[in-house]
Amino acid sequence: MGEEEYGRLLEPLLCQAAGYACSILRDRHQAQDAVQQAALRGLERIRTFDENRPFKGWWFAILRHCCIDMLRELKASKIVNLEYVDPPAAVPVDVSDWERLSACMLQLSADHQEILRLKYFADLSYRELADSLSIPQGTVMSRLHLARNALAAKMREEKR
Amino acid sequence: MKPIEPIELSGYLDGELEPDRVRELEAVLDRDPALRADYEALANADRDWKSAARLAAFVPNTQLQLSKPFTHSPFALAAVLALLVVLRMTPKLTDVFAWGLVLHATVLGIALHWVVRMARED
Repeated sequence: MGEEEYGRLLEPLLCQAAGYACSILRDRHQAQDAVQQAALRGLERIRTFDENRPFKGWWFAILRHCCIDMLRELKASKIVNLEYVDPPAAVPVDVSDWERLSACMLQLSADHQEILRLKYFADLSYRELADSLSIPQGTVMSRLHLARNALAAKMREEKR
Repeated sequence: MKPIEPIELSGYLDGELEPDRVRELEAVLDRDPALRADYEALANADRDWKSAARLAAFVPNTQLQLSKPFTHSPFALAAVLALLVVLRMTPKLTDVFAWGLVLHATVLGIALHWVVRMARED
């Protein structure tokens, strides 16, 4: 794949990518930085991309790692909001729907958070999820179902 | 028929089941109100979460530094043309001098080309 083809495939993913990064980093500026970093990192690695793999799953795996790296840097520099260190005890009242959803996800296990964020904020298919998370496609359906049940239970708790 | 597993409700909701399995699951949903209720609860939650997640999306200001295709600058072309003119006007030049001229003009053309290219990128 050439650089121009890479740019053409990446462009339609950017809005979702920004939303996905925002759901992890909880800050638009940092989300934008993460997307920019992932776009450049993907460009550097384009020659290693296997064209039999789904591009979206491959690229979102890069973005996920960029977000994780940024979270680590934020924690290391002590700028991070405490909610990144420990899950919040309760979701604040004055937040938008997506922030409430994201905050509830934050209280789930890491595996459940990852798959739910990629499913809802990035809209990945099962094949793309399998590729992005490096798990068998058969595992995607069961993990996603369990994660949905856990999230539904958490949302019910928050409503009480 | 293999019994329906609850996790398959997610596969059905996401359109990820095989067509044969979809038909089997739909037949069970028609006659099992408890499973139907589970599916509807899952589908409602899924719809709410999808619409909430869409609100997080925004257009990021992302720039890719793609390398530009090689283009000949007018300076490089001018250098080559100047060389041809000089060679045409000086038929009595020795071979060594003429090839030296070719070499210098080529180097000059390439250097000018890169100067122009870098100036454009800035």
